[in-house]
Amino acid sequence: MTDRDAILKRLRHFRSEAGIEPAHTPDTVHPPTTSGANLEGFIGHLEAAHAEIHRVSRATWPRWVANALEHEGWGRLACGANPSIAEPLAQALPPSALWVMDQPVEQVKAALFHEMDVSLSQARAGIADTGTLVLETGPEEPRTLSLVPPVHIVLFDPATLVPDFSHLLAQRGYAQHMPTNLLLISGPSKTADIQQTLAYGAHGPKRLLVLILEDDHA
Amino acid sequence: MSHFDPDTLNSRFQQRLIDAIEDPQVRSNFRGAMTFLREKRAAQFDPSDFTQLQARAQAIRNRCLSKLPELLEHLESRCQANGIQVHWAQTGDAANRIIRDIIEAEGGRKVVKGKSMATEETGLNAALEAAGMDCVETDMGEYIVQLARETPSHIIMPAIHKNTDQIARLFHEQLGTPLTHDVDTLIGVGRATLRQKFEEADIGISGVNFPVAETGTLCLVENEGNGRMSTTVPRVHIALCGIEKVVEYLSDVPPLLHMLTRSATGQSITTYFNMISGPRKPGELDGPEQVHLVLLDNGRSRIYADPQLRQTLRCIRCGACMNHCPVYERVGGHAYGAPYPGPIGQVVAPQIWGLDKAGKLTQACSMNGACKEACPVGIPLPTLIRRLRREGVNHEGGPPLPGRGSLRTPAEAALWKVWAWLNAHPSLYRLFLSLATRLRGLSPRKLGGWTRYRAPVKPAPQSLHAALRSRRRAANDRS
Repeated sequence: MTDRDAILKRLRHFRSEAGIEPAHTPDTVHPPTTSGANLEGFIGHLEAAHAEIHRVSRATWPRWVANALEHEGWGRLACGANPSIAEPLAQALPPSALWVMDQPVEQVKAALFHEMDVSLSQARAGIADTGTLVLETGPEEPRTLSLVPPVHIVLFDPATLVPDFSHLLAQRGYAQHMPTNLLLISGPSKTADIQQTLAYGAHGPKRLLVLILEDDHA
Repeated sequence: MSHFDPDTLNSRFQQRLIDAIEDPQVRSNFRGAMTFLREKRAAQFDPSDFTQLQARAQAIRNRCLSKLPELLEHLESRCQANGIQVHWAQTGDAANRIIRDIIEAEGGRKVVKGKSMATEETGLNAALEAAGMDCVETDMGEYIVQLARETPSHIIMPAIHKNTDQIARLFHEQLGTPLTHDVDTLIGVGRATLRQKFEEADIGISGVNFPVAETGTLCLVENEGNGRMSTTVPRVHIALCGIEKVVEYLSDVPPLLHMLTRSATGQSITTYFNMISGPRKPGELDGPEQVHLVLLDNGRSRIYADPQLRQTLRCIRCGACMNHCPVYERVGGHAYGAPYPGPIGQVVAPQIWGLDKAGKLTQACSMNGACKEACPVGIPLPTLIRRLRREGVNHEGGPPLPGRGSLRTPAEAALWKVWAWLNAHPSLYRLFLSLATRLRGLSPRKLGGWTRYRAPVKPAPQSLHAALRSRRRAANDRS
């Protein structure tokens, strides 16, 4: 008998011996009560987790990024081959400052690990009650972009804010279709493994900048 | 001690306890850390909501456990549909062999590992080392523990037994970096060293917090990003996971995650919640080419046999029970000698490795119940510890627990028999009492371990009955 069959057989045998019936009706899981999708709460949680929040115009965010590169002295910014991000950035940044990841990581690993100062992603949604950014990775949003460069910038559209994680799963229908790697990010990488002292940038980004996209006021 | 050895659980337990109690540094490191973790957790829970949240998490875990065989089959088929290769291991050795064989078949040379208590349980690092493979721990705490050639002393914060000064010296001695006590600098050293390991690794090993049957998804909770590195950058990702952890629906995850991070570190959520549903798909540019899931039994199906002991399997490995345990706080994680220390370890270890090897761990409990109150899934830990104490000295009937009755000694059994008999015969009991109080001067001054740290016990000059009688008489005389 294979290990698989032996394990399953033992579980079934012990269950029937103990006279325990499998619970066939799913219990109704009520999402935790929240105060609704509150943008201020979302921002408060992110700031408490050491993320840097910037309210930026939806029309001119690439210019904001270009200015940030200049002020911070960041040489190169990496982003995925998502036209709605890469094209506006290409117009705002000097060609040498923009690196679009459009090849398998094996071919560009050294550049990714050693040459990028900052990366930029687009959040698919936000979770208000924990201050969480939701990233759906895929061909246009490689997994490593939000992980390897030391600074990570995320574009966030407040219209995508949901109250909590349960609402997110329901609203985006993830039970029917999960992206290969769904990521919830709630701050820069951190650790408290040395005598409970908080330090940022353990293995992932040391800084997380969240750009809240706002409509321009008439 | 760099590797866990099940054969020393009982035999060296007392010595480990003595070592821990006599080390003031260990005691002060744990005292500080436990106070910190308890306060952080308390700030996350409103006591009036906690019972309801606990009941909800407990109901989810109970439902999933009641369907365990079906959910495992479903998990397997959903994972396979997602391109994840599923393996089954009845024992820790079998799991280690499966992992070693995958690494060999893939020609793996450099292995990085994210934090996984299941791999501590199976002794994976030692098994890979024996096969000539190098496996680097990448969680900062685990990395510190590996550098010091020790084992983790806490399931969430592995290096909690060390303070900054000890870690500063360790880095200085092992990595040759300048001696510094600046935590940011020390973490920077760890980051730089391990970055290179991630870049070069071809195999990444991790645990799993929640495997989801409905979608074939492996969920990992972490703050550092080393778990994401280990499961994203290397060509092959191997996840080791206890069979009891499977959850039925994706919608079961949020309520359990809510409890896990708040109970463990007092965070409303961790920095990263990493949900993996397969290897790299066509068109994607990164992520592993292969994902393997190794499902580990190692005694869990046996724990499943007994309806009371089965509650052990609800555990989501948050560590709140040890953070609230007054014994753990005083002796620290290494005293237990097991991968899972504290109350949950006292319940898990005897059931996995047998009462004959690990049953004595259940003695390190004062039955104060703090662990049960803190448990996010309502495991009645003191009840289970008492049950295992009983099984250790009882060999009639009962569940298929290895080593049942092995802790029974003829002298102790005889003593209890006499005691029971005495209590069933009132006149003899009274005679015994009057003798005990009159001959109290003869009570022994040394009583093994008891008098090592405590004053010797001596019967009172009067029995309680006699004391009450004389008090009543005195009251009557006054009135």
